[in-house]
Amino acid sequence: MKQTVFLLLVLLLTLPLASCYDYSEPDEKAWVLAIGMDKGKENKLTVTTIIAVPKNIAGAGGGGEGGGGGGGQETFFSVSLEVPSLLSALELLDAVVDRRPDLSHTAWFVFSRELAEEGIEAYFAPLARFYQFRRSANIIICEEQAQEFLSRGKPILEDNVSKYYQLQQQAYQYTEFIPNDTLHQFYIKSKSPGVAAMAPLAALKKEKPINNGAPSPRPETDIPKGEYQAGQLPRQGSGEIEVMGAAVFRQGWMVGTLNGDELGAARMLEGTLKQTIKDIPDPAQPDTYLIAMVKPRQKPQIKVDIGPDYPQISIELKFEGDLLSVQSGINYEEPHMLHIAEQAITQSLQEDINKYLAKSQQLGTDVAGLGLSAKKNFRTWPEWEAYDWESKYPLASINVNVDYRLRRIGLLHETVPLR
Amino acid sequence: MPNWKNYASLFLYHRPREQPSVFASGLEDHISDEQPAETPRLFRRQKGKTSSGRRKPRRPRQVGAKTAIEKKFHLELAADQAIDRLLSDKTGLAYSLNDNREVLAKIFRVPKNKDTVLRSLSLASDPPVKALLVFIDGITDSLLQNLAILQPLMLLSGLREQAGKQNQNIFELVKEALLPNNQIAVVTNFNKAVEDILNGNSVLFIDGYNQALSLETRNWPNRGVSPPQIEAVIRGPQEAFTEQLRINIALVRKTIRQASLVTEFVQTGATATLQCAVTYMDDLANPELVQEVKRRLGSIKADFIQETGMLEQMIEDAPFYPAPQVLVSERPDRVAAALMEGKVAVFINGNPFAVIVPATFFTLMQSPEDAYVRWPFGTFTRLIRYAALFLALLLPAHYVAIVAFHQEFIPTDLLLAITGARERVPFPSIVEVLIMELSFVLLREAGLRIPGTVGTTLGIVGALILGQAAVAANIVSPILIIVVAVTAIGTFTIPDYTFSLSIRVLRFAYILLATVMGLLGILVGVFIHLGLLVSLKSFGVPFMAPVAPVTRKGYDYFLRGQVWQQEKRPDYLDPLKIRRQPLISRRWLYPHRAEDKSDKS
Repeated sequence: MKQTVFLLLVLLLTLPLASCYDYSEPDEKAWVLAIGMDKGKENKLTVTTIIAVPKNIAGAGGGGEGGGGGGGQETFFSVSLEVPSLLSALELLDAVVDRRPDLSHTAWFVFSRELAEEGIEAYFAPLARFYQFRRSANIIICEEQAQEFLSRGKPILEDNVSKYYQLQQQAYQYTEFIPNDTLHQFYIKSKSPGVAAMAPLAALKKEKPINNGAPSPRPETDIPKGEYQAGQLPRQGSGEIEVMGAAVFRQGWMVGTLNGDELGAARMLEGTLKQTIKDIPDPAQPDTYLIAMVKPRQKPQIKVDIGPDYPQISIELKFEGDLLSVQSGINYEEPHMLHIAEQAITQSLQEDINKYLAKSQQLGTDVAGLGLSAKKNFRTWPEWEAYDWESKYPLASINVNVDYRLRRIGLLHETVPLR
Repeated sequence: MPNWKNYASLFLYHRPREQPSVFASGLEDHISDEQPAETPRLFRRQKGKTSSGRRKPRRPRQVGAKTAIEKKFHLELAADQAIDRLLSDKTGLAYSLNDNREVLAKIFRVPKNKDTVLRSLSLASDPPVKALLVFIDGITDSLLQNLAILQPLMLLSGLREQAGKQNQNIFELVKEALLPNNQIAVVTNFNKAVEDILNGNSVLFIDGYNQALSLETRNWPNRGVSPPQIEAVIRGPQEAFTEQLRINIALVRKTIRQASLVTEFVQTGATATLQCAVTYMDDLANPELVQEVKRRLGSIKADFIQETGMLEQMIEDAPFYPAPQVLVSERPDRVAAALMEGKVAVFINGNPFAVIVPATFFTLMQSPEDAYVRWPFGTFTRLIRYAALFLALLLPAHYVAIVAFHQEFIPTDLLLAITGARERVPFPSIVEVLIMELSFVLLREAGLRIPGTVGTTLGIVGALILGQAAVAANIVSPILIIVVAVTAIGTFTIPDYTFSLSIRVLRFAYILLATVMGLLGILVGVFIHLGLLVSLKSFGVPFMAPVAPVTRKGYDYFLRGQVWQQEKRPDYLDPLKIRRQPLISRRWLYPHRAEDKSDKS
């Protein structure tokens, strides 16, 4: 008994040896919500960190006089440092910010296009290795300098800029124009043969608003909405940041961009598209639109035949959706007319996909991951690596078969002309 | 110096020793008198090395030495010792009434003591026979004494008419024919007579006989049966035990109307013997369990045990373990249900609680109402209760661990809210948590002790301190108020009071562990805690049965099954009858199959 008590005491005394190592209060840390990387002016890199100001985000919390909350007060501030590497910024931040910087809540890693086109492999490496970075963060490529992009990117609806970053990215669930690739997927895709990485493309608002006085001639044909990408949106209002389209990478180098429709097609092939809305010129009256919801009916069926010279890929895509609007008033809801609408939508989808495939083959980046389906033709990993999919993909002959079905016609069962 | 080699060997892997199976022989250990060949001990002392070398032997107290008090009052002490000896030797009664009267007067300290009444009377015989009625005023029914003892003896006996008969045994005559009293016993020694008098009986001594008659005249002051205060339910009987042992057992018997319900009385304690009833179903409870309960109760030699809580501490298996090992209930229906499972209940006179043994973790987490509502709700309530247990035990610890060690667990929005709220708080999180937890414990204790008339004041003060002022004064952050409040609510959800007390204390241990090592510390604590619980036994039954060790499980240990699914009694009790109800309980569903299949057990 006495010895048991003695042993217990010894064990208890070992507890203080740990002495609350790692104990840290959340208000003793500076929460870095986003990190931007540009080509440096004095040093190799300019690293911009966005640091939250919690007392303004939490509003009146903590006492009576803190009232007023987010309105008017800055909810974050940015610090830009000229450093040789990303993590050296973490050290230098200690000199500038009183609280210890912590990267575990970083939501966005923003690379400027300029930097990305010179290759981000070296800067990217610590993101995958260092424990504080979470893999659910996003890599964003911005058209401008990341420093300017981040410090001007103030949310309107949110107090918390991190929530803004996350929600902006989460639009991938209901639109085709934003990829859903996180840091983890970006990393996995970057190091795997058979698939190329892509990252959301972002930019600041266009310099000139649309109505700048002089009426510009409207083009002959309408520009489809998916023709745009970030930095080109004709818009007025809202915040500074826009996210649309993707930057595509080959071996850590950014080689080009995909606009909205191309990205949508890539995501259809990849099988990650959840839903999107398509507007298609009416087959009977091409100046009016037929608007329909598009959802995948099943996973894309991709068969890759490894030919002697180049692969032959046949893809079967099946979609379904609802009819949202018929501007022309033609009764496509009628059973005998339904297939006309379906055919028009199918054709439009097919065109989009073909456009994407042509562009990706031209860029030589298989962001849709068609190579992953080719992998099963090889028995061993070295054989697959030796095949060198990246060099074969641009030569592949690809045959796409799209099938679209209209399932529901919305709340109207026929279009009645307005009188 | 301790032997360091022994300590080091604790951290090395050892092949587990062969243990006899717990359930091979039903209830194990303690019951048989034979000792195991080798007593398992954590540390075995090295042979040939005694502790006497380094410790000063304690000087034995000199035999016969008297303290100052003993010297000063040696006359009184001698008298007391003489009385004690008289009682413990079970000295027989004298033939002479005067002798008996003198002895009784000595024993009851008459005339100092005004409670004891020595009523002289003469029986209405010819010649009159002297008699003496001894009782304690206040715990006897004087009307009953007048009508059923004194009146027949003094007025209506008709002894005068029988005066002529020879060899008349007046004592037998009085006992058989003259006392219309429902319970009557013959007493032959002073010890028994004193015991009966103290229990509220009246004892009649008759001149010329060395026997006395103990007559049932008990009339203790007692309150009526009232609704349960601690284990309140919405559905189910609204009766609770009272302070009267007989009434309590009657309440159980009201529910279980079976001849096999047995109530045995065990005398417990030394200085003041305690009336203690062991109740069980003779055809269900394992006889070894009953015997073990009686053995433990009967062997207690203690000064003064008056409450089930004290009795519990005397009979529990492991006093140092942080969990109660008996179930205490004030509900007759709960006791009845336990008895019907094959458990044993212990009642103490003067106490409105019954002790049910053995207790397991899962029974401590059950409420009788689980069975009274339909099963989905019973099951849901139980799930909620286990969640509450988790919250009550671990929530503040998790708060400390996550806020101070693992901020990456928190969603960014919440983290920034917590950080923002904490900006003005000068203390570290752990100090905040301790301040709030301690003030809550304080408030709870004050609420228990505060006189009812000023109770509302405490509510106002407590709500202000805990709710608002602490936040407004920047002593604690508002999120912590939620944590403490949820923890408090969780604690009150645990049905067993003793168990919730142990949770309340252990919470602080977990907070300490979380402060030192974060979630890892909590994990270490849970490991040790679980290890303690699975090694714990209550009257030979593993505390975590039927989960550890794994035995046959019914539909009523973690979740609540349908009533018609409760077919077997708990395996860990080894009851005499396993099957509780036939395979087909609802025979109206299967009128044709019912006869042939159902009674196979």
